Amino acid sequence: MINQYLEEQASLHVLGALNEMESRDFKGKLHEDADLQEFIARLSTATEAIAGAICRVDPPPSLRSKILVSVENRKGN
Amino acid sequence: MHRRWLGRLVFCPNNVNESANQDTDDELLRQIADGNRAAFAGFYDRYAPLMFSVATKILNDSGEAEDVLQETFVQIWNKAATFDPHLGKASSWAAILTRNKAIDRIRAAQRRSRLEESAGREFAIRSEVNETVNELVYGHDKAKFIHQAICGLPLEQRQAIELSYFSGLTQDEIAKKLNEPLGTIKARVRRGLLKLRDRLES
Repeated sequence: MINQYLEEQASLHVLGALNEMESRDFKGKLHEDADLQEFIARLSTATEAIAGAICRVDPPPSLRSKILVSVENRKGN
Repeated sequence: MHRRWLGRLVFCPNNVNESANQDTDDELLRQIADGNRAAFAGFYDRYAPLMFSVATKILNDSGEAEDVLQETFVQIWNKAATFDPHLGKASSWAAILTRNKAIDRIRAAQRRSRLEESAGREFAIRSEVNETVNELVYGHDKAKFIHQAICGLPLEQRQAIELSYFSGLTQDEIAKKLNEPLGTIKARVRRGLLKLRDRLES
């Protein structure tokens, strides 16, 4: 059972709005609570909608190769 | 078309992009974690528009948005293994990483006025559906449905959510800006997100 306080913290968590200490505390609870994990997963539908409802601005085509090259020398195949 | 997700009936338009995303995002991130650059390029092609749109919205500067996009993708390359599909979608994860990088950039520059400027551009989400990221991902009909769901929220809840996500202001700062108690702001965020979630699942 998730109480109202945890629902509030979860809501702020999915928006990235918890401060560092609150976030650390919340993540600790999240790690141990399957109900809270499911609650977060369902809330992500709402946050995805919020993020995607803004005007679309595509990055310049040149940025793609720049970013791909930036990981070229890192681990990988 | 409807499908079940977590036991609930969820509206899914017959949109190839959405079906493909849901089925392969987890696999893409697993491959990225293994150092697969082709998977990384695929993830870029899928989510760069969303991420760049979020960065541009927050920073209001395309040059800085480009820097943030690059930093975020490097972060994704390094931390793909930390993505937990049980906690939400890859798109939400990518968007929040971008959002946090953009907010950090503003704060690091200590451009308080920029935060307030960003906060002043209230109702980040336009009232009309016109070339949004959701249209790219879901198609016109579902994007319109999502917009109606968001615009159907009480104004104070929508405002609290948008300020929390896009402005970079802390909850205390939002409460001060709106001249409301902190508890009221947090309650509005909670109620608004729950209402939006329920509407989207209906």
